[in-house]
Amino acid sequence: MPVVGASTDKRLDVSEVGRIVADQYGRLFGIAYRVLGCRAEAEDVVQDVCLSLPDKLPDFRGEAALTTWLFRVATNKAIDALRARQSRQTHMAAWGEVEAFRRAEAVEEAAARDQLDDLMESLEPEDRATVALVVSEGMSHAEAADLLGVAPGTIAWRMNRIKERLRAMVRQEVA
Amino acid sequence: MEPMDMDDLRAALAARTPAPCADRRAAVLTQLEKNLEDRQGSVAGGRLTSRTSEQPRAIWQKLEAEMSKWKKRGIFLGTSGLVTAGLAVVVVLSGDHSTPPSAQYLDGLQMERIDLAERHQMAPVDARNKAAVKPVPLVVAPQGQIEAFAAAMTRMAQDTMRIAPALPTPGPDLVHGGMSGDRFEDVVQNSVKIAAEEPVSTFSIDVDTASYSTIRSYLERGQIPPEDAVRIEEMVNYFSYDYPAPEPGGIPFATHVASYETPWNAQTRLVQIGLQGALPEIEERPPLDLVFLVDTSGSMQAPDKLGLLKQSLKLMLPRLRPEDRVAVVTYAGASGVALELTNASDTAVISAALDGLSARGSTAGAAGLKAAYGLLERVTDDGRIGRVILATDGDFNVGMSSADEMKDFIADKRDTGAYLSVLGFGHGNYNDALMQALAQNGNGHAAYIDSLTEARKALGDQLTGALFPIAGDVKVQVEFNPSVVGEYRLIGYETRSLAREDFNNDKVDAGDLGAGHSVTALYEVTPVGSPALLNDPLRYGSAPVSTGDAGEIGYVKLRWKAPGEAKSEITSTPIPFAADGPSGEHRFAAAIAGFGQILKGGTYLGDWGIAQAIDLASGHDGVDEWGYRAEAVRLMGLYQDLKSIE
Repeated sequence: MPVVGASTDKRLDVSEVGRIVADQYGRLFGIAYRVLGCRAEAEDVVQDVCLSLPDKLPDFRGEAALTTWLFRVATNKAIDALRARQSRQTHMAAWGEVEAFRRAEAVEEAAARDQLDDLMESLEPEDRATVALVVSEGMSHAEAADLLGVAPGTIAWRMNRIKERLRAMVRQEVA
Repeated sequence: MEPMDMDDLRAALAARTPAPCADRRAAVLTQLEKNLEDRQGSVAGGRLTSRTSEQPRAIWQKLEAEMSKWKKRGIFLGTSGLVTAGLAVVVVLSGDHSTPPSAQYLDGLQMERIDLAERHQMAPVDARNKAAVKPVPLVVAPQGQIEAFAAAMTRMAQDTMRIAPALPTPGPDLVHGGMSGDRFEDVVQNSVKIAAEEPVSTFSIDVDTASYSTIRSYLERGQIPPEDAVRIEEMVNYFSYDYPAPEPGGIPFATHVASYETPWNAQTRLVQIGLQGALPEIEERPPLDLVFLVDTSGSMQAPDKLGLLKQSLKLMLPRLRPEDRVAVVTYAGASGVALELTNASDTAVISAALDGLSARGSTAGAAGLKAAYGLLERVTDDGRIGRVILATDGDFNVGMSSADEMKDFIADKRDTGAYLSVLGFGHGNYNDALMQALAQNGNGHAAYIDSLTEARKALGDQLTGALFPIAGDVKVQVEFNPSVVGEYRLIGYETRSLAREDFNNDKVDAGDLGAGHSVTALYEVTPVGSPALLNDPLRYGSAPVSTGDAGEIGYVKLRWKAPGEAKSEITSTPIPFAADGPSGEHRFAAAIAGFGQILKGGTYLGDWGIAQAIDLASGHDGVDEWGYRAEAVRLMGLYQDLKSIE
């Protein structure tokens, strides 16, 4: 995994930074999308992360530190964006109304929706991020825990819970 | 657990992820390159122009942080109220690890939460691994940048202070207590006193630890805690030290005084005064009947709520005695008894009942509370101690006509010998004020639990008898020997200082000491004639100094009341001028006090900084069974990184 690595004393070159961000752009978007479930919002998050980077630049020694930072900030920003959206929705109107509105909006997506989508949709922001990092990105619990700022045990716990719900979903499908 | 095919899931998720928009990607990368080039031409520490527009959000976020600090002060005040009511030592764990409600305002500022190295994130829970947790400085920022950052922090703090008076004031529930009313009052650090002019220093013990949790929550969010949030004595007292217990049958606490060379100044000495409360044998306590009243409303459906709660309660089981009993009552929609009082030895039955809990429905708190007390009512006669432990995220629906009525109900039950403690979980709708009020009325404590470690701390205290106060209104008075000590300075305890004459006035309230708890206070003293003295001698001389015993730095007097007594007793002990170096335990206490002073600006520390504090803290040789000390070292490392990054 590129997330954890030995730091070097070498300062990053500007051109290298561009290359690293270009390399990671897709993965950052993937994580943000996994959490947010919304393409436009995911694009926004990744843009915010990338453009706030130059300010941080003198602090990074080596590619690993930079990549870790990108992942961490993208994940947390996505979680926060999701929470912000959820709280906006709560404040805006009754849940049912918003939900109906949102679903109508995503009508072409709706055709392709299945239970896995519903499951992802039902997860808490942190759980979605956990899935994004552990399942989609294949990170270890320790790595995901580091990025999310929680104990590895918490990640293990979340994953167990998510798997349990997946199993319940599969059972439902069979029944 | 049957293995899930993660690869299938990964593939399924990948199939559901669209590709990022290529145009957008190109635009972002181009802009990034441009910003990078601009950046190269700018001075170190300069601001990104794009961040300037986000300034109002940054201030808003800062405000929110300030407000949450207020809330914590609220808890803290409530706690003092508890202590004055003659109750137990209260552990308030308001550590707020995950993202605060302000998270939606995440902006450029919060982006600075970068902690470069994963090594700070997870401290091994084993003191033997301390080599592994000792951070190595990774990033060295140019001095100018550090200064720019410090200046920015100061500015921001000033902004906040200016805006602060417009904030809503906390409700009357939170304002009582013997502390200063203005929550935004700057607490001025204790200054250096001249022993010849002011030889006597008096303060109340402080058994709270909330400040440490607050600081931890700031650092873990990637923010430097505001200086006013730092109460050094609460940081030092968060940890337990290896003070020998008192002799049985005598004074309920042991006094340990020591002096050793100050880590940050070889010319001065630290005087450490430690009080260790007696811990009654656990066998001596009456059997407990614990009713876990578990909130299973929909909002509890989160890993850091119901999940953590189940784990926490299970952790508690092995620490119970076989004759203790446990029951579980849930409340959500209709409340119900999930488990009748069951002997603690039936761990399998209890575990199964806990596992069976799942979150659903809305909250019917009052009905649950009545059901929980109902279980205790049948048994309170035979010398058992009944306690309801309410575990909730604060979404407590008042079925009784008002919150006051519920408090009265709890207070009535307390008078019949059934107590209430509150464990708070999760974020977002945790209702500090109500929970604190309920616990106060129930003779219990309110603890905020955000991790298993905190659960262990809070629940462990509960069960080892720390809920029994052993000494009330404990006051400390130190008289320094002016023939030995030129200057002295009390580190921390600013909010606990007492007038000299209050020491002998039993009407003046002070902190209580709970069973098994320890309290530590540190003075930095400068010997007479030392080059480290900060005050010059007076040209016209000062009053002649009476010569005391040159072997004594000073004399410690302690006043306390036996629980329930109105009249205080006194004990005293000299502070020997020993040439010993610090023990490992001393080193750790000094490191925490040093860290606290760094957080407060480090006025008296000279060149001694966070790297030295980390070294010192890592070098302790004490027992760190649960990793609290390792965590402290990790927090210091976080702070070091945050500072160096800016």
